[in-house]
Amino acid sequence: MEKTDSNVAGIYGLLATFFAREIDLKQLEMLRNPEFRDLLETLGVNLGDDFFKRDATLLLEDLAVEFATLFIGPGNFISPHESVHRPRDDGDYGKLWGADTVAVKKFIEATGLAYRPEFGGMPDHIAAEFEFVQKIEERMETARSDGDQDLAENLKSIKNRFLTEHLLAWGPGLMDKIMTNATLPFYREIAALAKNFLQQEGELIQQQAVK
Amino acid sequence: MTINTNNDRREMLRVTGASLAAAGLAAANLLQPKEAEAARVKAPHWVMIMDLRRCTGCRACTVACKSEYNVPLGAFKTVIKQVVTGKYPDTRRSFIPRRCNHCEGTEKVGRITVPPCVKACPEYPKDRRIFVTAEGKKIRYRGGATYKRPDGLILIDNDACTGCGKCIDACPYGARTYNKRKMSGKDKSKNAIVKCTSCVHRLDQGVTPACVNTCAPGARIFGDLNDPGSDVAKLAKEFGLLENREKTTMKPDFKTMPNIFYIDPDGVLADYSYNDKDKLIEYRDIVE
Repeated sequence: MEKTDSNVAGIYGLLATFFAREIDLKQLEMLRNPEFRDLLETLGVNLGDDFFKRDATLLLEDLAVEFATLFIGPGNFISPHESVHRPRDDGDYGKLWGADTVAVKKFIEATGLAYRPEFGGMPDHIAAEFEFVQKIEERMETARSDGDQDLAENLKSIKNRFLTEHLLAWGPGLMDKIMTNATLPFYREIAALAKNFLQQEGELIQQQAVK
Repeated sequence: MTINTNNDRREMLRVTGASLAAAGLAAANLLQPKEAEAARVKAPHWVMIMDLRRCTGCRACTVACKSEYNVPLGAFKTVIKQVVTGKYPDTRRSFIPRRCNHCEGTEKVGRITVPPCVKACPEYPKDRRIFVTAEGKKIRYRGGATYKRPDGLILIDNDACTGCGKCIDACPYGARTYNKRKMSGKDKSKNAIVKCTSCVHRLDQGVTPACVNTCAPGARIFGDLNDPGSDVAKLAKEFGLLENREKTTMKPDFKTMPNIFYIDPDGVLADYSYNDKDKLIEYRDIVE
């Protein structure tokens, strides 16, 4: 049995943060400090010298424009919602508020979580899905430290089910589209990290299934 | 572009994680724990609040409703009325979103309190039905051509409807009309009745009504009044919507107890009126 690692929750949380909204000055300053720079390099994320040297105000402006261009519009943007990207067996495809939106909303709310009223996205927003897995991971860690193995195993099966039914089914494809369309290294590299990480999570689930 | 070649999961995880969370870099904050909900053994009490401070008259709700239901040209389930107040040169145009009020009612049929449209329906009460709450509690109620569900929605069952039109006459708001494209279930010579269902097919799937979902300025707020943590419950408390029905609901004189409330600090509702004979014409959305 693989030991849960709170670091997994950390990476899910990081991805949720970056896909939820454009980064702000405080986050930029954190990312630029040497400790995080080393950490990002260890993760294989190369943001380029420009990211660390350029004037913060100008860089934040460019990153905000990139975020809007990629995810918000106008024009050809990549809607960060599952129901838009994932074809279903019943032919439901390419719509906001599709059947998958409802499925994700029900799944998340069934675990005792609710969407914050100020969250303006659809329930199947990629950031909401990442944050959901982050919260399950954190809860799993708490259960393990409390010695509640049954709850931890239950949470693990919930996480694996959600990944299999939702995030792994469309996340890597979305990341491919982001990598193709991104014009700055930041979102391209974060998308590559997300895809790589999701694939590892998928492999882990397969290994557990073989056992 | 750099390719992420770091496939050593252990190494990846060894160096990250807790530090990210501690630094606040791993907190998107889109989700929160559900607050202890009101005992959902009770059915929800669906209400909609129209915030007149926010409505821009864009008609996105009208269009969303039409596309959700394929509402025919010329007919509307929700409309935006424009009201001009003041005197030249000090005038102001305000927007009043309207739809079926899904009234609580004050008249009794048996032990159930029903609004005038349900009271007037000759095909109510009919079959026995069961409403199941989120907690699994079963609440028995009666169906009919037009009937009231335990969660407060006033719905139409076309299979039981004779198309007599008594509910259209009974509704003081003009929210009901004939569907020119559909015949009633029991009398194929008469048209079916059409009105807002509060998107019951979406609500039953846990999704907000189409008009609420599409309202960009957030002028339509929908939720369960029985849930003290809901936005509608908080707003109802903040603005005293339940206590001041004569100012926060449409046509309070009819005592239908609407479940659509208006946040109306400028008293626009008081300036909006129509004659009973014009109520159906009033339910046409015409941009002037």
